[in-house]
Amino acid sequence: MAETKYGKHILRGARKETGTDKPGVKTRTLEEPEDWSGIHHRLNWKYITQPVILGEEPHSHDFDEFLCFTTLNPAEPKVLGAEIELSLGKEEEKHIINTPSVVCIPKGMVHSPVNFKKVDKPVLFCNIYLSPEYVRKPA
Amino acid sequence: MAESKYGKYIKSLPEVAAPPRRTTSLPNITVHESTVADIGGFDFNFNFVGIIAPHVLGDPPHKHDCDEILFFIPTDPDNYPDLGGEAEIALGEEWEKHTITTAAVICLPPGIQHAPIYMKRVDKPFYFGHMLLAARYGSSATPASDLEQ
Repeated sequence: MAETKYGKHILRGARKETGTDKPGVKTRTLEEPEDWSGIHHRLNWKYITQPVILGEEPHSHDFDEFLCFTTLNPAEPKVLGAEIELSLGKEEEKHIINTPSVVCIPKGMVHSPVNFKKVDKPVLFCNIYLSPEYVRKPA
Repeated sequence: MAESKYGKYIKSLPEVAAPPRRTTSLPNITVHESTVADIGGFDFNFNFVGIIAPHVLGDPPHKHDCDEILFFIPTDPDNYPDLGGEAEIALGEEWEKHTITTAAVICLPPGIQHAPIYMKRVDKPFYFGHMLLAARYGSSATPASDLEQ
């Protein structure tokens, strides 16, 4: 492709597998992102195909984070086909997610683990965070 | 009303169903100032839109004064990074065309004009969306038509 002025702002999907996948978790990556054109917020996503527990230990961040759970069938946007148990706060208050949802986590709020207890249909699990670096602070 | 001779010549607004339109996109998860006001709000908004069939997005060319990310997420992990379709986005005031056929993230620092966005082919529905560092979408956008004024 000929040299372009704006092509550098596009990060395209890469086939590289990550070494951290668990059974039932397909983490898909982008080509080497370098500096994301100087932008400081991020997103990544995983495809969850079977029950699994992620983010095992309760933790918090110094930045806002949004955990997004949605369907791989955008034609039926109200059906998740899975059940996720999420712990929020130092109390580890349990919440069940069984419809497409966003969990908004202000900086400092303890959360996790994220327990995909039932996965009848694959889930798109997208993590959005307002920082260039993803750093966890133990609860 | 009494039977009339000529009333039949008056045709009021008929009760007809709206013409069926093909569904081309469906809203999905979102965070917007109105959805998070009860938890203090965030200087951030995003949405996921399911792209179901070809169409052109309604947004005219515009730019923001804050960071934005646009994303294309495929829904078939087994064929990753194939998008399951083809989109074309115009970037810059030159409308430099870029074709997207894989998962992609487009990083737009402040001031880079973007759109139109043409969802040209949809073999399998995929997600498109934005993530903008402002409490609501459009709060910091400048339509291209205003750029030279």
